[in-house]
Amino acid sequence: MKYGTTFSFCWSGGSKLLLYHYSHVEVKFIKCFFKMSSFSRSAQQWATFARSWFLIDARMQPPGKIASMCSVRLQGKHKPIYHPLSDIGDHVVVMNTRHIAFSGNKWEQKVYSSHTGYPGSFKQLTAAQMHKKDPTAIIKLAVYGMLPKNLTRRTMMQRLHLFPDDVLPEDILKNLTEELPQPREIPRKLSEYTQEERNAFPMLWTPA
Amino acid sequence: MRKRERARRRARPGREGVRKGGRERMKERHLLLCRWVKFHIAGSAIYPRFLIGQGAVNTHCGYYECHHSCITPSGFRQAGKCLKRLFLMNEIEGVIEPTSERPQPPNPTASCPIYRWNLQNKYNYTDVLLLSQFIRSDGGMLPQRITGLCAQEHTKIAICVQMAHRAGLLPDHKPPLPVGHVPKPKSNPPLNRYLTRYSVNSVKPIYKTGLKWCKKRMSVGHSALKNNVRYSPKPLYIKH
Repeated sequence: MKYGTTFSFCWSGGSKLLLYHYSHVEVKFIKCFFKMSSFSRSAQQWATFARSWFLIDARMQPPGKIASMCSVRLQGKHKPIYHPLSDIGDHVVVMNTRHIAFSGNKWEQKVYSSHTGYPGSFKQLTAAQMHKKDPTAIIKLAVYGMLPKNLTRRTMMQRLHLFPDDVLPEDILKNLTEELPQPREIPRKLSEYTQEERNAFPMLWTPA
Repeated sequence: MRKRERARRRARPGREGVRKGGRERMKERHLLLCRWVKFHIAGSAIYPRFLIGQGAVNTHCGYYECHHSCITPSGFRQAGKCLKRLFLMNEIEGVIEPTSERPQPPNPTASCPIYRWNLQNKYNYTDVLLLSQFIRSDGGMLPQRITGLCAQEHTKIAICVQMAHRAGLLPDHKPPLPVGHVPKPKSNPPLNRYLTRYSVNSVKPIYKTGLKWCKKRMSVGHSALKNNVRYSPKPLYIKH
């Protein structure tokens, strides 16, 4: 069974976090340019069915896009050997969930409602209030809503690990295999442009 | 105000004469400004201190170069009067040299700067280098009659500037705090946002969104920018 032609251990997202923690090991962009068909049968089987650990940095990213990336990998839909009954989802670690960015006025407009079933317990919280109470709740609810509504959903949610800041525990750091690229390109602030770039930009109008 | 009115009445020719409109005058001034003007000042001429801008050089070496980029309209008028006096007294001779360093707009015959540079439908809230040319130091927009923008582009740029402010892309263009004011330590760190159409404090939460066919949508971005060039096959998604 061929699971792609190249198998890559890669720190492809340009992760400062992984480089910082593994700098003593001299980790750079590693991509193994050998085919999986050259592996032995047991190695090939291991590489096909192993559960990988993905890292996503949610800083300045829309939580919905992050959640859809997470749900795809938690279900195992990014693998050609996918089947809903075979439990082949991977682990996903999301960091910096405190720094997500909603588009539009969703921080004020989006409302998360809940009812425990008891009378008088209908709670409605705006996204801003929810985020203040629990910085990981928004992404958690988004991923929960995007997973298939069956019994495997709970096990997939157990494989999702959310952290509000970029401080990750040691054991999770050791397990990480790949960092995924961020879905949204973060725009540069005016203070982040160098003076040369500002001078190179033409003046559109002159006074008087 | 009275001085300006008197000056206008003096400059106005009789009813039979052709009166130049504001835009024509602006065009002429713009042409003047596009040139580097070298003045050779004989003897000890007066060095007009209000002409200080980028690239102004002291007169003691004999040559005076003037780069008009940072000048205020009133400063330019005063400078013009002083130079006119020097000219009439035969103390300076003007040598007009063509500009070589400033890039030329691809469409110089348009009245609006956006149309001059063919940027219509091509800019967004992220193009901060463009937007910063039309704002004051405290973040407000410059008036249309100063910048020369047409009405639609002025509103579009104003909308983009608003969205850029709310996204935190213009951190240095905040209004100055009153002297001696110590800002309170904020309890919540500011939330990251982008493409915010409405002011943060003015929006109410949508407690009842409604059914799918009559859902109350949350708007993202602005419909004024709906004609912007899109390089992806997906249409612009404004109602989330």
